[in-house]
Amino acid sequence: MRTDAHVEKFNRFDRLRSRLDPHADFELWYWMTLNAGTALINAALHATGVTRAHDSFATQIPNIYSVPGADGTRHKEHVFGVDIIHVGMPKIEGPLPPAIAAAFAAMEIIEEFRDPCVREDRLITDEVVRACCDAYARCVAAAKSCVEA
Amino acid sequence: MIPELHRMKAQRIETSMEKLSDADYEAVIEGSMLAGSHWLNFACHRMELTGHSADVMHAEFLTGAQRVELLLRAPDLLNAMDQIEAYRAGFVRGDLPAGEQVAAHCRKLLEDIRRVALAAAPLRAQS
Repeated sequence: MRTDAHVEKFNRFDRLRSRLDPHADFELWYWMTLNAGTALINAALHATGVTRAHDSFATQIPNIYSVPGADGTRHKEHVFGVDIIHVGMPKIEGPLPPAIAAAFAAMEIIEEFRDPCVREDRLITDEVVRACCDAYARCVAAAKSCVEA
Repeated sequence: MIPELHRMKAQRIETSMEKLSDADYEAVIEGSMLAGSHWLNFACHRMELTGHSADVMHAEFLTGAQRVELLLRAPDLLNAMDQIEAYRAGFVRGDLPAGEQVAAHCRKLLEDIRRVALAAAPLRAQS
């Protein structure tokens, strides 16, 4: 996707996140946290030239994207070096700019709670919520520094 | 995870979705996918198609044989999950227009998924 579109998605996810209760609505609150962070990281990756802004949309399968055809319909195609789905998926080869590396490290902390707390039945504690909030704040600050530079 | 825990997780997510309008389409699509995935696992376990320790993350990630089984035994559930998951690229990770209509459709698909899942039962040979 294009950089400005990622930023707009980040803003929408972030607003949704702020309307949900971190405990009562943990699963959706967490998912908006995950999506917001990933959207802003994609914008940061494009802004720093690590990945390319592109008209493709990521599917659930690494390196397979929904791309527009000449007739306006979309189809799936292999594309490389564009949006990530999650941190490390697809894997980015080579060193990252320090701010991107910091955003990735924060997002990896958030990702650790994905399966246990959303797809499985790990208890949602104050510590879980606090860890997600702290990591999200670090991720957003680091990624924004790249987008706004 | 045991079916009852999947049911509880699905219902928690559905309760959160009541706070959203269709204008919040990204969250509605994602909530439908997450709750639907728990209902999918609930159904697969109840049908004895998968074990409690073999949860599926996405319908797209089912094996070919599991998809054939579901097409025969719960086609509406599989079709609904496939539709919800297909919307994610364009409307959650992409910026296609008309997300509100998609959100309304996802809510309907989730109702279908829940209905089929709650009726799921093991297959017994018939003479």
